Amino acid sequence: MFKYIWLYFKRRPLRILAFILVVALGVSASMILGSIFLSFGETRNRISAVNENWITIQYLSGNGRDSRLDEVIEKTLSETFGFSDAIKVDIAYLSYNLFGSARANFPVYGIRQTDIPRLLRESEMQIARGTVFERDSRDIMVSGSFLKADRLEVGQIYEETLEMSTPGQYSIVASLKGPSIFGLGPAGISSGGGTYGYMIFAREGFLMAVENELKNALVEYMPSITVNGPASSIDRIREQYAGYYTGVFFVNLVVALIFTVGLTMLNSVSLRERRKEYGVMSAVGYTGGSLKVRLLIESSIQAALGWIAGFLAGVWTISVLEKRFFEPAGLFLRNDPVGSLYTLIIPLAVVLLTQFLITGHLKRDLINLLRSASREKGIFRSRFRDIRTGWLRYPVRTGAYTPLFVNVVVFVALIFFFGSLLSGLSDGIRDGGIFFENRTYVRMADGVEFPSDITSSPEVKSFKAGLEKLRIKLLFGTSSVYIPVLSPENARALLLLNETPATGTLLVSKGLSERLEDAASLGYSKVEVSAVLKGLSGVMVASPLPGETLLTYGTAGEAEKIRRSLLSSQTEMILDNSTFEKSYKQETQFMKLITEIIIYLQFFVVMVIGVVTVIRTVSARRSEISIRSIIGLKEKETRRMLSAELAAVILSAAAMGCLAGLTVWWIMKSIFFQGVYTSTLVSMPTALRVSLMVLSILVAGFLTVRFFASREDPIAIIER
Amino acid sequence: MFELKDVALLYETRKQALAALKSTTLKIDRGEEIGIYGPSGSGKSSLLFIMSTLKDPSRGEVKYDGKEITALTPSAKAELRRKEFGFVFQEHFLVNHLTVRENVLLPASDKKDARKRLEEILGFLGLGELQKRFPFELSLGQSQRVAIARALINNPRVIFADEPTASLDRDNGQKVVKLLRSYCKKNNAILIMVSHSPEMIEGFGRRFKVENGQVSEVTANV
Repeated sequence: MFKYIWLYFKRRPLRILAFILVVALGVSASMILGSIFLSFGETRNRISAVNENWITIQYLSGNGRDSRLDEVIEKTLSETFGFSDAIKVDIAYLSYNLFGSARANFPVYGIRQTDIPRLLRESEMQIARGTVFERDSRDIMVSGSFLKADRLEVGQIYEETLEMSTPGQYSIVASLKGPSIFGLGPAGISSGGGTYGYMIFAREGFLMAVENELKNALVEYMPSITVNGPASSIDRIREQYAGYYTGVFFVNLVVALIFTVGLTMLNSVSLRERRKEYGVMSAVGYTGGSLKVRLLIESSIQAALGWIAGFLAGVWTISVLEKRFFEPAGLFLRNDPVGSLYTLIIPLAVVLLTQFLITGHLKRDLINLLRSASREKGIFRSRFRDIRTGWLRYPVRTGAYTPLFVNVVVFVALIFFFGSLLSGLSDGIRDGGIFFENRTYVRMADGVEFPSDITSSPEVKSFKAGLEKLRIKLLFGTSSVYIPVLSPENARALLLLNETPATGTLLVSKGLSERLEDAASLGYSKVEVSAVLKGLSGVMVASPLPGETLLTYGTAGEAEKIRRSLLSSQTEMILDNSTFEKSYKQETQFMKLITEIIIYLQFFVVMVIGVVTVIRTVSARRSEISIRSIIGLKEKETRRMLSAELAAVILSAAAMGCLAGLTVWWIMKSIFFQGVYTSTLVSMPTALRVSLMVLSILVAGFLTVRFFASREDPIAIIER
Repeated sequence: MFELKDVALLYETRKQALAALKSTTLKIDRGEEIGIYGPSGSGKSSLLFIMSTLKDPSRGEVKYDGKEITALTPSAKAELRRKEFGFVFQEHFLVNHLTVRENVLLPASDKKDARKRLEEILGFLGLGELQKRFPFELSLGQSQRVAIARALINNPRVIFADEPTASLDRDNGQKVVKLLRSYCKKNNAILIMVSHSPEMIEGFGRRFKVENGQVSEVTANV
């Protein structure tokens, strides 16, 4: 048996090698994608891990430390817990560049110089490069990863202007090295608006208990005072990064699906070609069982070699990627060989499906098996004897185009499905900010006057307005929709309504009206759908709080001017189009990257399979091309017919794939993703990707047809 | 109708030039039956391929209807083969996924006219009942008759038959030759038939023997 298998391997080295390489490609692609996917979560985990070393009790203030809250915290710490060595901190947040515009904030603790050694000891960090900062300066030391991520050097000035961070300017004087990502600065770095509080340490194992006790003790001051520690950190990681693991699962599932389909198709063609061999072997006395065992061993050897090659290539590529690309960008890559065992699903599925296919072939009786080998048997042949359209005859009467057809259906369906998945993830975030496209919401710090120069422009109208937040469901997690609170008169003026709405009315867009499960906290008495409101937006009609303003303007250009003016004043909160754009980019960029990797991987596989199938199909018809040439059909006619066949197969498969993708998405949405918001049935990028893929296969196919049709010598068939 | 002047086919190898067909000059008129025989590899098929434009000669002139045909473009050659010539080979060379009817109509230049002629030709060849069958559902004799039907569908003025009886039994072989001869007689068409067996071309108006690439007309009975 093994001798026979060896002979087959020896006679078909290219085919075997191609199979092994495709298995290897699938396995390594799955490992690499999973690793890249987890790298963002891994890096964010390391930022969050800071809170596992200590507990911070903190509050937000626009004017430095709040003596009343300081007193409450100190009293609680000393009277309830007997802590007298809490470190006074002020916290600035710097942005950590994860990828492009996707960023995560990490804390920079402003503390006394004398507390630095203790903080470093607790966090297992050390000073890697630079010098200790000056007192009362804006000198800071930050994680070396942050420097890498932002391509900064020690000594470079870092300026931070994001709303979430303390505005100001820092000089980076040293870098820190260790397992967490945070920064240190001298006491008082947040002298303006920022976060203030205390940091406390406890003996190992007691931190979580202390954190929970503290939360209970300070419960009456929440949410003004918040307590962060290992328990909150674990909860946050679980809540925020659960999506990453779900994403990895989906990525691997899709990669496995793509390669399993592709490889099974390859095996299907190979088995079809070997029917005669199985027929002859059956004729000389081999049982179906022995032939199946032979094929099982054959495909298992190939699949195993492919998996080993893919696994080694995956481990190697991940380490190269980490050293060359991720570490220099300040990212951590998870290389988990044991966890990569899930990639075994690809070879196993292919081996099992191949067994299933051979069982189908061996079910025929011996004569049928031998005869079927000499014809291009099509599953529907007998049904299509009367077909009139010439270029449909070959595709429907033979099985030659089946692999291409199935692959295009599957891949178009997957692109559609993933496009919808991405819409489900991102449309909610994008359309949640649609209300603020030409509007800015501003909350000034206590006691600060609203800058009068902004409202002096005739382009800008201002309304007194409050703000409420509504959580809406995304595919993995939730997002916020901000609902402005306006007086009845202002609501009417802003939305150009015919009648003044009653107090307590919640005016919503159609999209939001279907997602109001979490809106009870708004305290509305009735809901009205307004055609003026688009996407996911709403307006609550009630009495707004003082100190908050909603600005509207005709052109988007005003937004930038207003933002600049507000940033120079003491503004507590600004919500405008750029806030949402930034948030949209941050929240979706990574998912987009992964989706695009999957889509282009599919693209690559389907292109390869498409071109290989076309080459095989056309080259298998060289005799027919010769016959056509002998009896006087011109090369152009043959080419036109083959191209029309190809176009019919690919376009009909694409149409079927679109339908299948949308159906699967609709079913998934009805069962698993109920309430997830998508703005359109098919997004424009999805439609473009499908068109591009179909066009590419068509062009590749037409070129192949042209190549073969023009080179076939009519005498070749006779001489063969 | 056909005029060959000093036509030769040479194959260049590293060491020497091999003549598949040595200098040949001959003339064939409308309605003639030409039988070409000779052992395997003698060059008889090469002669047929050159005359039917399937192969270009190394030198010489081939005229059909007074026009030089070796210099035609591939497209013009295809057009000539389709309109003027009909082909029958040892193997039937039918297209596997097409039914009998579709195979016969494949070279038809005027489909409407060809459909009218189809019934007549299939009836003449005894294939009327087999129109919707695929080639693999036919016997060898039936397949060869379908190939003849395909060769006749455009009402050709010349039929090239390369060993059309080699894969058939004696009876079926003779039937095929009879069919081809009767068509050519009826339509005043040229029949050029190649066979390794002189028996099959018995009774042909002109016979040529090909040996080692040398073509010579045989006047006496073989």
